[in-house]
Amino acid sequence: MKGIVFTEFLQFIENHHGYEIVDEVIQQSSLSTGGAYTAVGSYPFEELVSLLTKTSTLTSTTASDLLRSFGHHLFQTFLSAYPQFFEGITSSFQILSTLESKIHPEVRKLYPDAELPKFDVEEMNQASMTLLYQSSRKMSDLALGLIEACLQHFGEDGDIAIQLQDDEGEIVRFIINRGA
Amino acid sequence: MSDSSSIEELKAQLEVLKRRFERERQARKEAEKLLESKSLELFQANERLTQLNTDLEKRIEYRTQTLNALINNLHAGLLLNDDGGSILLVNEEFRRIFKFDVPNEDVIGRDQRQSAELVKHLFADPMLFIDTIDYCKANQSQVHHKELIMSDGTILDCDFIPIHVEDRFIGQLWQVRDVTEIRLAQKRIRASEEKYRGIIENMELGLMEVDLDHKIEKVYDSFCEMIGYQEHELIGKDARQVFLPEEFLSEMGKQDKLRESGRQSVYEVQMRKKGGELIWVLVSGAPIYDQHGKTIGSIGIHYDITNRKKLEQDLTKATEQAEKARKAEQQFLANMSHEIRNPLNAIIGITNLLYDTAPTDDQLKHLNNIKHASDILMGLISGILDISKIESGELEIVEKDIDIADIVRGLMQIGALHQQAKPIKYINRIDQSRDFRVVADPTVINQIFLNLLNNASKFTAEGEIIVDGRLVEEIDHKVRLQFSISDTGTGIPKDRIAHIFESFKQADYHTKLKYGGSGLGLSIVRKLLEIYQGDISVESTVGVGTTFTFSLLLSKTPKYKSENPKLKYSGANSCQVLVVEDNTFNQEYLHGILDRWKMKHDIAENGVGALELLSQKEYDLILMDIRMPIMDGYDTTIRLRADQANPNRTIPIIALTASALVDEKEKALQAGMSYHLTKPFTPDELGAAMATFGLTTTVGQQPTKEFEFSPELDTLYLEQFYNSDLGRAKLMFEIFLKVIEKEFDILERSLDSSDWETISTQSHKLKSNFQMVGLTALSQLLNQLEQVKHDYGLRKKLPSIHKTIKQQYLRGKAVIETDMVRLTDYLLI
Repeated sequence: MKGIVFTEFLQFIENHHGYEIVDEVIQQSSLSTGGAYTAVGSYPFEELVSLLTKTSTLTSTTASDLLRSFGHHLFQTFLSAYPQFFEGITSSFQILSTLESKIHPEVRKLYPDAELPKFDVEEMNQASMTLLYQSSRKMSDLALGLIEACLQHFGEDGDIAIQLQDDEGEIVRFIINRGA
Repeated sequence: MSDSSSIEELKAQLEVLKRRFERERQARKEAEKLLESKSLELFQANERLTQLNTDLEKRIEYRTQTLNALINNLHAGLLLNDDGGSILLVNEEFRRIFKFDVPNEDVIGRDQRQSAELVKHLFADPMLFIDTIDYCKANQSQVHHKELIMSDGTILDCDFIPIHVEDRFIGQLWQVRDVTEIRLAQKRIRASEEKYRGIIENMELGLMEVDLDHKIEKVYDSFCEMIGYQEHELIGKDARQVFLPEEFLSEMGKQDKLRESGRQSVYEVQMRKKGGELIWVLVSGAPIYDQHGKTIGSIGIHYDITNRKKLEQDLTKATEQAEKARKAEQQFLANMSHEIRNPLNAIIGITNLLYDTAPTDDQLKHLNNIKHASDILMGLISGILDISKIESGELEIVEKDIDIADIVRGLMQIGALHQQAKPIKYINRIDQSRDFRVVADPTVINQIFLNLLNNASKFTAEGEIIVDGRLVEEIDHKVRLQFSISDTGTGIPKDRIAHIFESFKQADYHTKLKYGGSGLGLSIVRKLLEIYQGDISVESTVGVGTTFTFSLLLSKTPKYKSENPKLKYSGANSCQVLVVEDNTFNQEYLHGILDRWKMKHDIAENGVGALELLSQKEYDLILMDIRMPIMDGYDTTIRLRADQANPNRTIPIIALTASALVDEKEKALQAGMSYHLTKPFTPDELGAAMATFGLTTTVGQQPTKEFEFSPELDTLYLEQFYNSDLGRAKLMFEIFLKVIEKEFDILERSLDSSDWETISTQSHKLKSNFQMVGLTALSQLLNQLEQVKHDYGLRKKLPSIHKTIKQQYLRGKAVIETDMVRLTDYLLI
């Protein structure tokens, strides 16, 4: 798992609960890294799960909610760290529809070993868009938060319907309806 | 509390911060490490890219060089220009053809059209060159194999190829080949073809090529001329339907088979010309092959032989006519001769009557002349009549069973009677062991022998006339017999031999003057021999004599006794031999040999006993002693041969004589014996004699052993005579000892009583006996003694000779006895 997810997750907890909670989460989790993460590194996915579980316990928040809020945070991070992806983009559909074709290829240039979720555009028109999420990490909540943040960023109203395509949560269909 | 707690809190916060700081530091170090390794990765990637770049550049360089070399070495001139007409590339060959002497850099970039203006003078037709390239440029279309001729005679084969990339014209490629040599070679081949075709056409040989279905593919002018068709009338037609009369279709089928198997052949057929006229052609046909060697048709060379055929037919007709004319002529001669003979007979008859009219001496002389002249004329007329009859096929052949041997015997007796005045001996050597009973016209056979015998006696003043006769072969019911008649006459000169069988030709003119005759005799003989598929040859030496040899193919009579001994005697033991011999010693000797060969045999003491046995029983062979009491060998033979009823009349007789005198041998053969053997003879010699009559004898050869006869005996003679066959030597010694005492006793008593006759006979008898056991000296003494009958001087010496003989006899007998014992012992080992 890319380091930026770890560093931003810890930043996100610190933002909401202060570094003491971050410290406690780290202390209570058994981590090979001792909690020292850098955005350019890669770390075991299990450590993120461990961090997420501990945070959920300590903050009495469901992991699902945590991930959704973290999605909002992460979108802001992307926005400020990688403004080049947003140049000339005027709507959420514009950027969502180019995830697979433009953004992910750029990510792979920098991190050839990155394991990225798949976002296939199944349908798209002016008003709605169907995105199919596929990832063995089963983090569709994070995706949901990101999509919501994206819609908000472009000042778009809309609702997002979620259809689980399997029991595990590896394949999830997002149906986004924007207000006209 | 609150302070301490806030201190505690601060401490705890400090701890958290410390840990945070530590984590941040760790994270930074980690990040730095990652950055370093990324940098290294980047550097290495860069290095690899640089290397790859260098490699690629090298490969491009190499490829370019290879292509340049290829282009330069191409046997075609190349020019490449871009869409604007600027020259991009020319190769060496191009420079050579267009005689560029400026460096390549000066050529590159020049305008192609302007350059063309500079070289157009090199072409025989400069405007054609310019027009061609303008046309290609304007139309941007491909032009292939445009031939342009340069003023120096060089022939160029040019391709102008526009190059398009995705429908966009980007330039043009010229490809120019110097084909001068190729064109000249092609021209030469064509000229050569024309030359040979011209030769064949001028030879009046018509050439035609057809495929496997006889469809005409190609015809040449001379063929068209020969057959009267135009080329366009023939191409594609079936040659058989157009030319071939139906009766030659099967011949053509045979020829087709030959072609299929790749063979050529020559044949004659008739062909139908356009007007329907038939001509004869001699065709030499050969298969045509494609480049894979498969037969695809045939070529025929036709030669008109109509004239030759006509000549052949004319010739046959002429020959037939000539033959007819000749027959008519012979008929005329035959008629004429007949017509002349009648008055001639009258002349001869009346001449004979005149002899009885008591003519005066003068008249008698005239009469003799008339008689002589008419006799000659009569002979001539008879000869002509004979020849004419034979040649015109009018000679009537009346065949019956005859015995040629009898006929010849009779003719020889008559001959001998007529020639009594001359010292000529007639000798009959006809093989008595063979049967000469055949079916033939006796007149013809008579005339053949009579003419040859007359001829022989006419030219022989003295000496012998010998008739030889033998069987050459038996073919089913026929036999081929060969006879020869030899004389010791004047002989025929070599240069005349070839002509003596021609009518009216004799050896020379002088012959005619000296010996007379019509010169028709030999001609008649030859023509008569033709009736029985015979031929005649002659050998002659002037002053020595002449031998005529001829053969006849004749049918056997039903009574013919087939003499095919090799079939008849499957082995020696199946044949019957009669031994006629009075000498006990010789009897025993022959008995021993024949026993060894397992041949059945009877022994007769003399001719009378022999004839008795011969009349009772069938024999295959007689071994006949000559000198015998009561009836000798000659007499016995003559009587047997003359006895028509005797079944053994013709069987072979081998004469056994004690002397090798030619006279005795001759007498034996004349008496009718078939072979002659001089005593003493070895078993091998007897075997060889019997083999000439087809009797095979198996001589069991004894293993060679080293045995030394006593030195008192003639060891050299014994070794030669017995040839290491010690078994036979022992047999002979045995026989000798058994009979010698009685025989020697007879000799001694006759000596005592001076009975000259018996002394002579007995000496003759014993001399060979002593010889055979190696008592050579004794044998020679007896040879001397044999003469006592005529030699009176010898009679006086008789007592001393008697004494010597007696001494030698006793000593010799003792030696023989010793050697006999030694031989017996030796052979037992």
